[in-house]
Amino acid sequence: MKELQIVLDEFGADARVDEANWSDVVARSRRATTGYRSRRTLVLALAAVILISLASVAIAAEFDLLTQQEQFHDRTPDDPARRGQSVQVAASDNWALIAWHSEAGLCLDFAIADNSTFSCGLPVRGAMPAADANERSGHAVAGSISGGNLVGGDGRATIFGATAPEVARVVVELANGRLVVPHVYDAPPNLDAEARFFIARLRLDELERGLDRESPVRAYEAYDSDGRLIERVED
Amino acid sequence: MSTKGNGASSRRTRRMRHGGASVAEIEELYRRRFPVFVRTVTATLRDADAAVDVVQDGFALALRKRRTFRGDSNTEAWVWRIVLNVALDHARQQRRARQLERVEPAPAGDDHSTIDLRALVLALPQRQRLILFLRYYADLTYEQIAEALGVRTGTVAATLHSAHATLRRELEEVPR
Repeated sequence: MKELQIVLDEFGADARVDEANWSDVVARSRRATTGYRSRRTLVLALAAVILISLASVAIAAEFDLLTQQEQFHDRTPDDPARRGQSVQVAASDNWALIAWHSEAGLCLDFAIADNSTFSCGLPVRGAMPAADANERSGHAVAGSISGGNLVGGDGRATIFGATAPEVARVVVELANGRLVVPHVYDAPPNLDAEARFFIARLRLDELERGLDRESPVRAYEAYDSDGRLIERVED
Repeated sequence: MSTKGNGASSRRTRRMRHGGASVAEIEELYRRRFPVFVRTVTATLRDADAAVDVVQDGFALALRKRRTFRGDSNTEAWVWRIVLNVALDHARQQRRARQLERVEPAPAGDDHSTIDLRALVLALPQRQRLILFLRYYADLTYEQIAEALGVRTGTVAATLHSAHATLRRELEEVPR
């Protein structure tokens, strides 16, 4: 359409095509960059503050729960004597799974603020004292469950335990037949243990539906990395 | 005894552009295509004063964002996209976009003079008008227009066809 061409020519007819000024473009980009950098600096500073705050909270929480547990065990005469430091295996913002060596073997604490449950001498390969390991072959998996006093503010109970080093996956069968697959963690390097550890946090109301006997756990099953069942341990 | 080579002899030097547009590249585009940018933006905004400002700001923004440019796309299309975004932001701020959308075609019965066709073009949906301008003033390929507007190439072709069809239909409906 020739008419369209004429109209479009008219639309652009008064364009100031001779006012190119590259220096002005560069100057504008620098002005904009100053503002951009200021905003970017501000954003980075805020992000740094937030990260430092979160890290501080996490470090403080870890320190608090580790300290809490060490002080708790040291003050309780009936608890096994601790050998070496306690080490955090896993944690969230309101709980920690803590491992430590004792005269009774490897111990695991599930701790929340001002409360905890723990289990020592788990009969698992890689977690047993050398003397016991010579006498018994040990199991591939062993676990424990937190008491009702540990549901804390989030309404969850906790199943935790240890496995032999070759275990890649743990399946917990509850009394009501429900299967739970907890997260499995390697032993922290400063723990000096070959065992691995697992933890699962469950809604207590879900758990209670299967409470037809004392323990809500029917069995722990340990699988290797190829998915083969290594051992099923009835609780 | 077997030996294993370190693979040095078979290593191939692979040059890749990791993105980013150079200042020289943007400056060259600016010097070569400034009139086209200004004409297109002038037609889009219907404001010759603002158009120069928008093009200057658009290229300044391109300079600032040049490191974010992905090397696998077209530099000019990328700059067009920035300039058009600045133009549309300006239009929104000045409420000119609404004003443009409100322009109604001249009532049927008039001669289809140049003035009438101007109104028809201004009454096109914004995307149709932009594609029309980019094609006519800047002579961009469908692929470049697609990159500049962030649409598919097929959409560009279809939109351009639709714009032409609308204008043709309106003109044909006007009694001569």
